[in-house]
Amino acid sequence: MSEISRIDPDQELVERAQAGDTRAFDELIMKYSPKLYGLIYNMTSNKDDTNDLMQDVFAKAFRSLGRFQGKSTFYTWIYAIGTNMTLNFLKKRKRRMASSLDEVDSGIQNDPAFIDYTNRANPRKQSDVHSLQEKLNDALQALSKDHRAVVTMFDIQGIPHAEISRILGVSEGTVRSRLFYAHRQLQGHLEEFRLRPAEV
Amino acid sequence: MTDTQDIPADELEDLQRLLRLKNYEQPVDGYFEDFLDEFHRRQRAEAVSGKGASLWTRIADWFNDLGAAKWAIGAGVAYAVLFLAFFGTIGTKDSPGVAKETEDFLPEGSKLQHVELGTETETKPGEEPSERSLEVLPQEF
Repeated sequence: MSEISRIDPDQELVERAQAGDTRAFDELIMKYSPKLYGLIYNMTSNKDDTNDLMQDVFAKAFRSLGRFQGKSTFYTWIYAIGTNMTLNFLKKRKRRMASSLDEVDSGIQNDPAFIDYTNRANPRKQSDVHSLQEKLNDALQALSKDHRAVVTMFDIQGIPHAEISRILGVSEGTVRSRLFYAHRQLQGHLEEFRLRPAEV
Repeated sequence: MTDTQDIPADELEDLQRLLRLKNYEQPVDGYFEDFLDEFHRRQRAEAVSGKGASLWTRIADWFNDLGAAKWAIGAGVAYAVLFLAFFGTIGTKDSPGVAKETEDFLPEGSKLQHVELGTETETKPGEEPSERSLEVLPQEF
């Protein structure tokens, strides 16, 4: 029996998958593909590259599952694979490719941050959504891939510093340092979006 | 504000609220079910074609998973290959120069033998040592 951390909520699924139960691995894919999609999509800004990379990530995880010893949770392990493959992909890509962005869910209309933004913008909310999406994307793409990774994980996905350090294999201090620098960069790029109380 | 000062907390919070709006960017409905179907198709295609992940892909995966240790292990493998390449040529008919040079250091009357890795062979007096190729067996990962 493999040694898997007692606190790994996926312990049973991983053990079954390691024993050859492909449906168990399918459940792991369905569980983690949305979060991995968000990670890779926000790092690449290209939904087609995201799909291909996700397929490669899970293919590699499937091949390597036998070597997974449970020293980390499965979540940390699959996230590390996803992050490393995406960083390698971006490193090889070098030249910035055209973005291919997903549609924005209509739920954004009810988000307080979006409401604050539109209160200061023009009344054509639909164009505001796309305009905001483009500008957020441009600001993120202006970051280096390493800074974009930590911003995606911490600011967009809400992953704690400690978990990010385990995923990236760097110290928490390095994570905080990268975030500090990235935030300053983003603040400059998104100056026009500073959320202030609506003018009366 | 100097470059070393943190962004004020309320400004950082505003920035993060904006960034979290990225979570509303989602693939179309049914995408993840289709993704799983595509994963199955790719796995079946690899199984049918018999290709799967090539040996080199598996070796590359294993090597990359080593992290920082891969540099030490890679250097060790390189030295081992050089060692085998050098001493594997000693005593071959094609490299009499090397064999002669090495034989000069052997006790009088002794002969060089070809030895397959992990095995011992004896050459009886008057017998020529058999030539065997050295095989490096691929590791299973």
